[in-house]
Amino acid sequence: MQSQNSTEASAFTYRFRMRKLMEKKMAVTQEKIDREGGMDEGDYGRHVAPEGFRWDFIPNHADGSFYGYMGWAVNFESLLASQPVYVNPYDALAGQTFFYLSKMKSPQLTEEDIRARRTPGVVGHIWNPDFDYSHLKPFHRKYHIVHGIGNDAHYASDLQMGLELGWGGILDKLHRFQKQHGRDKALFYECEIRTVHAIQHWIRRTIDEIDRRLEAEADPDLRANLEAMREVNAWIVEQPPRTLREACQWLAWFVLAKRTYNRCGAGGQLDELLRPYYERDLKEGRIDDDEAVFTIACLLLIDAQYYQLAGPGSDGQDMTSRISHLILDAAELMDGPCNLTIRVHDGLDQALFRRGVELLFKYRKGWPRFSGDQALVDGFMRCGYSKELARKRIAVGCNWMSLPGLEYTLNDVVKINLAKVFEVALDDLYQSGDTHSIDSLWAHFIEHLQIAAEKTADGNDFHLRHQAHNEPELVTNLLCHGPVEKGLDMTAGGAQYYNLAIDGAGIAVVADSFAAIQQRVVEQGALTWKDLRWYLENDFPGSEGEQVRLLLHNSERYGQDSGNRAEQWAVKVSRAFSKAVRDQNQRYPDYNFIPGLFSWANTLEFGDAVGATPNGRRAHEPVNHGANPLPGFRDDGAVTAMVNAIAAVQPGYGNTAPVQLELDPNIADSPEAVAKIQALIQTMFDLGCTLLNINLIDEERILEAHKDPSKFPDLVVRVTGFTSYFSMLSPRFRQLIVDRILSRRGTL
Amino acid sequence: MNGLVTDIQRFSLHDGPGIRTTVFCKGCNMRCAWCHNPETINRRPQLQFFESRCIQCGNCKEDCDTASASAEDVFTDSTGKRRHYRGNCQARALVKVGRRLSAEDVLREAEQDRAFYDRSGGGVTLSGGEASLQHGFVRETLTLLRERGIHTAIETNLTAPRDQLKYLLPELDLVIFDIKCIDAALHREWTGVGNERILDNAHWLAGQGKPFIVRTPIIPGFNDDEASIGAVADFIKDFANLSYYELLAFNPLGADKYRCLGMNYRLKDAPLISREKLQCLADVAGQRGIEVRTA
Ligand code: SF4
Repeated sequence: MQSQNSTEASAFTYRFRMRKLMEKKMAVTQEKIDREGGMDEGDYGRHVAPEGFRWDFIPNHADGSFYGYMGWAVNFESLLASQPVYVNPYDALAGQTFFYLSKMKSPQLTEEDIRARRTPGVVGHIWNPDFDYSHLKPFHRKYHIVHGIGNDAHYASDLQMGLELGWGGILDKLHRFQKQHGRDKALFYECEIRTVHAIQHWIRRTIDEIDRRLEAEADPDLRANLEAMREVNAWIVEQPPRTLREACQWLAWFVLAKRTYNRCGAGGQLDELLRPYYERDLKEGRIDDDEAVFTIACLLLIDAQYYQLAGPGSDGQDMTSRISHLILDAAELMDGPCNLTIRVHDGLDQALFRRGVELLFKYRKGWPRFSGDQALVDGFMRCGYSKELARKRIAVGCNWMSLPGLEYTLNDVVKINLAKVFEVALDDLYQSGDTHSIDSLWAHFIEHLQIAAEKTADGNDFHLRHQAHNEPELVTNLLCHGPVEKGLDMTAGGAQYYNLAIDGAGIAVVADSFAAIQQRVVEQGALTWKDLRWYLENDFPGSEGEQVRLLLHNSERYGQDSGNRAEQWAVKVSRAFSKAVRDQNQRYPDYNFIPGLFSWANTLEFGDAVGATPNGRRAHEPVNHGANPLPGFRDDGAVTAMVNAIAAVQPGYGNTAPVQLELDPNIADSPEAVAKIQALIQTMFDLGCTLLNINLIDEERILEAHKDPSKFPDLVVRVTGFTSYFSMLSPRFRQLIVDRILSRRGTL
Repeated sequence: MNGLVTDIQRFSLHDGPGIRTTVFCKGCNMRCAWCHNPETINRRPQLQFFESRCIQCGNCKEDCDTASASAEDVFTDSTGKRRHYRGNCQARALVKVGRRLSAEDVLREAEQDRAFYDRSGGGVTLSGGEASLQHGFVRETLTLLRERGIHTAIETNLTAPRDQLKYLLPELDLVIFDIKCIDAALHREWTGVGNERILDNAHWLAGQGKPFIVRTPIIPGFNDDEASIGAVADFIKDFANLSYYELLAFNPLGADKYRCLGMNYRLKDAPLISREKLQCLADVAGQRGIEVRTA
């Protein structure tokens, strides 16, 4: 054990070691940028292989790529056996990711292909061409559906099971069930067993590397650490972990394996996973808190998986324990990107909650996030599940929850562009010769929404019928309840539940458009239906067009005022969307489709596909984020008004319509202000919200936004005790805020 | 009874305890040189022109009917151009500040955030301008809010006659008022009004058993020195029911508003108050044994 208090600098303290690790991480990041160019997405801590390293995948298909059980098993095996191994004598844990196999299978992908793959309605090279879904493509295009066919991961495995079994136990289980099944499951078991062997081989190669390091290492502290690291890995390569360090190392290998396989980032209830090991170590005098914190920090550093902290256990008691706090300590020590979510419920440990808010504002890196237990549980129970099960459905993804090891979900990869559906409906109304009325427009919208939901569900079914022959989930299958027992992939009947997520995007555009038509065309007669059509088709041309656009734009807005026209429409749209999604359960009784409202990174692409809309939005402008109102919904940008609106449109079946807040960090500049933010968070969950992402805009971003405010339409800044959209402020006003920043930095 | 209100701001974090809704009443009897909310000074509705929003549509063009229009509806911009307000500026570049609202209107908006007040210990703050100038409307609003169990506060310059304060006080849970400086002549010079009644009212209020917060805006060249702040702290240090004393650093964020209103801003080139200076003044006040906060 080492003391955190021992002299800094060269002393072998945990803080010193973490600094060394962070220096390495920074160097790796720089190397990555130098060698691979800038990154436009998170890369979870991946390292970069030495220059000159080369590995080519082994194709098994005429199109030059690889698919199916054997294709993936062989390639995973080959990649793990060839890629470099990572050992750092300062680290508590060994191992790193260098590659993502799912991204390597199409090395011919150009930048343009990669961009195209993000475009809804388009699929890149990840799908096995033997399975043709061209019958669905016209609908994908028409409604701009992100269909999810061929998409991988996006559900959680049960890490607890892995900790209990260890790699040896997993192999035993595979062998046991292999014997119980006939030849029809032989391929499944062979590939799963090869997958485990590949991971074990990777660990053994790492142990060899530790030995090599030991031969050359003279420093006694580093030697001691390497010896301990060796011992840990030598044990867990077969046996289940016994200590906190072994548990973290075991988790690290599993996390790295699934990340390498197909970038899976779903973690688990980290405090509960680690608690027994920590408590035992502590009782037996093997560890102190400083060492526990450092070890966990190393786990967080290895990969930014999504982990949940606290929340009610199946008995309803809060799961906060000492180790929940230590995990926050670890995140502080690491001070890098991490994805921790605190589950807020009535019994939540207030000290943990408060500390979470403080850390969010202190480090400004988006962690922790907060989820709302009550609405999540009530919603999931509405699908027919028990309360105990609903509580186990934890935050392990960007906008999503999952039952570890029990369900297959396609979370966050299936979306319908509601703004596009609206556009098709309006077009249809104009073409149809029907009387132009808001009721008739609504009827057209419902009709198309229903078709879009059906075709999306058809796509999900298509995916599930063929995905195992495209990309089986060889790694995460291992820690799920069902695949090993049944000899079936998670995508092919292995899971206990198929709770398939379908998200709607662009709700604010649709609601505001309905409201603008109602207010300006129907009630005030300021514009005829015919004029509206002309202005939309021509994208509000000229000065007159701009006036019309502003007239529409200044109609009632979703988020502006509880119960106004736009909010009523938003609620109606959300209900209709939920119904359209839930209706698919009758068509596919084996699946439970769950609606959510989310768009995340696709707001630009979704907007790009839609022409001008009656809410005064110009053609191709982005749609709103998730369930958020459109920027400028109120002059004061009041967060409370926004939260009320988002609470009103929650789809209500256990998937999220997150609140995405962008705030000026200075909002929480005193203990009283922190308490106010805490109350804000609690209230939003009282009101029925499901998830909160607070994004604190650092000063750099404000400075950048000053140059081009349109790039940050959602940026809210504190002005004088109240908040305002940065982009709404006049240039001079913005300058004053910029000056405030510069003065704080002492450069003015 | 209707009141004239410039704005209702929700999610207000700095106008009293908890998450609040702040109602800005229009009209003020003081003329503080640094005023952050110049649009609240005039007691009548007023035009504001946001040049950056203007799309030059011409809807406010000076016309033959402009000559007969009420002065309230014509705005002369910085180029000398007269803009005639006809209520049809879609760009919201030429807008009228000041809405006539009833107490029920205020309640309706305020109630939307009730859940947030309940969790945070927040409520509604009547601010301004000087809210007490519209005492009838303010009292009616406060009564309605309190009937619904919403915490009420007022931000006042405390110049109101004692009777008016007595009239409002029963409906208030908290009073927030400014003591800008103790020197009467200086006070008059910078605010247009002497501080005798303010200090007298402060004494009286201190004996009424209502919690209150005292604030001082720290203005460069006026009261940004240890002696001025020390004098205010000495004055309030023995008041019972003082929740805390708050120092608000001057910021020139109102400057833009002056321009949009076609008004001149005396402090446009005044320096910012540094954090260190603010803290130093807070320490001076804190030495009197009172709780001091800064914002
Ligand atoms: S009406 Fe408004 S947008 Fe049009 S010219 Fe006047 S100020 Fe500008």
